[in-house]
Amino acid sequence: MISDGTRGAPAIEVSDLRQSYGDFEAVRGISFQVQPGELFALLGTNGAGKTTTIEVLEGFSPPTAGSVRVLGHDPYAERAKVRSRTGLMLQEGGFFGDLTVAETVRFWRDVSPRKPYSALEIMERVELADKAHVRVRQLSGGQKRRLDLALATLAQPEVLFLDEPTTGMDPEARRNTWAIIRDLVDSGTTVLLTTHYLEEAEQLASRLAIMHAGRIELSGTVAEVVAAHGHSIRFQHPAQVAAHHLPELGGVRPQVEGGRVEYRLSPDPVDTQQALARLLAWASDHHLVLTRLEVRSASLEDVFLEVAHGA
Amino acid sequence: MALNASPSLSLQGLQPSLLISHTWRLARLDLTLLFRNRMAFFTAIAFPLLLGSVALLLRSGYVSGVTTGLYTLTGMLALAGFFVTFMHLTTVFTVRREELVLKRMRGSVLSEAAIFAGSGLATTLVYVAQVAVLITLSIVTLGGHLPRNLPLLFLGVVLGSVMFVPLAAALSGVTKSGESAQITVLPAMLVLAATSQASFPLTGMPEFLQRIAASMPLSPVVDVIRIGYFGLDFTAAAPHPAVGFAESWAVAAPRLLLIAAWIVVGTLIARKYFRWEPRHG
Repeated sequence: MISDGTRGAPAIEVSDLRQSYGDFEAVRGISFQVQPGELFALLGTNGAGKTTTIEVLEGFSPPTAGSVRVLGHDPYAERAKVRSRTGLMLQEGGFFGDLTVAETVRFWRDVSPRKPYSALEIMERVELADKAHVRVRQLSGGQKRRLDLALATLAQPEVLFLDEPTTGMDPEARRNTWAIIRDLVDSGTTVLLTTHYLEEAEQLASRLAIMHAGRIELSGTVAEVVAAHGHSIRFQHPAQVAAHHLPELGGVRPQVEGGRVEYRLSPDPVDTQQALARLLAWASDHHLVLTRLEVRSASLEDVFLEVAHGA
Repeated sequence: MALNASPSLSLQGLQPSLLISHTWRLARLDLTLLFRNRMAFFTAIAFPLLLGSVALLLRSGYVSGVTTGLYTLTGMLALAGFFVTFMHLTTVFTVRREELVLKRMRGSVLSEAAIFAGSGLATTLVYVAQVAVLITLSIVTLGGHLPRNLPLLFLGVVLGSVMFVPLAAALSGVTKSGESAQITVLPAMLVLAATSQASFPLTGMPEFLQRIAASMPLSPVVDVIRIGYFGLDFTAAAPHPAVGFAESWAVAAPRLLLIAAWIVVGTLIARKYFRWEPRHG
């Protein structure tokens, strides 16, 4: 069983992971793999089990059941083998408040096994060089996130765990953080990221999984996840047509809600095109003008909301 | 969770050179923080010195065959370790756990052993410096002398400090916040100070209570420090017989072993009670 994380072996492997706290099962049997150089995003509402999952992978606790591997090792039992090759960003906190930014960076750089950057470079990368002599306690929430990212990446880790990395950041800092993460991925770093910002996952992830109540409900590339969700045709409900007189399109009955008609169609574009042609023909036949007509493929947000509402 | 969790204080995968360099770096960090936090500075640096200085005011009388001033001072040398290492580290471990600093440290390349050793080294260095200051003051103001067996006294001080590291880790596990550390430390202080003979002999106590008192953690530290300082056998009844340099090692040996036993016991208790993270809400 030699797997150094480079020869086709996944960098992160999760098999049927379960994690309980007392009677509460926070993660209920999930499996996924992350290949080297990939950015995998775990999406979900608060309480979906994202942080629990990432913390097992970070080696903070052993799985209640199932197994996890990071770079081919058990991150809990073989922590010493894994730690020097991983970087992690906690969801919050963990700083010595009485140290300055520069002292914090210097300390963690000193104990790091690899030192590819100077302390100044590390601070400049996250735009904190001008805060070098400020006590960490006095930093804003977003600045602390940036410092955290700087610490997580200062040793060029092979695998990087980011737990909600941009929470509390202003839009500009968020874009800058995304750029840093992209650079890391481009240079071959494997990243596991949790987020509840859908745009973040769309921007960064090569693949993602949507978690809900401890399970993975959907996973794949953004395109796959969205495509599986299908297309929809919507328009304003014409007042002169009773709901049950609206036509079937490709065998699909419409849903009427709040004065809007919606047909949820299969992901196949041919079906959508035929349904649309049929709808327009029906409208002409009945001398109707459909207002606010739209055909759209599902957004990640549609998919996410549907999963989050337990559909 | 507790069922399948392996002991939380593990020593696996240790590399000696890394352990030493990380311990040293962490100790430097802890010393920096110690001087920046007013509360920590008072508990660990100012208070033990004040406590020891009280003895400098005791200029007359005799206890147990030595002057009251020097008797009390040598007791305070032991008690100082309680504040510098035990009380201070109980607070440090608790606050760092609640602020998720311990979690970050544990998620890094730092080994668990280095995390404890670093904090222990920092307080031990402070403690040794305080002992040096107090002994110097005793010579200047109380007509004291250099310890008759300096290496033995030094060993007692260092072992006493090391003993308090796992005990502090254990107590932090049942302490909710930095503020409540003062409350959880208090009973330990009363028991240990009262049983240690740091400021008064316990010869008035019933025999079996004396025996229990003598086996509590601070008692052997007080004895070893007094044997080393006075060159008298404080494990024997007063008047304590004088012992030479070599003999002082022999009479102190059982007391040193008792300190070592407390280090083991403390480590076992810490394994059970110490927590790296706040409780899940």
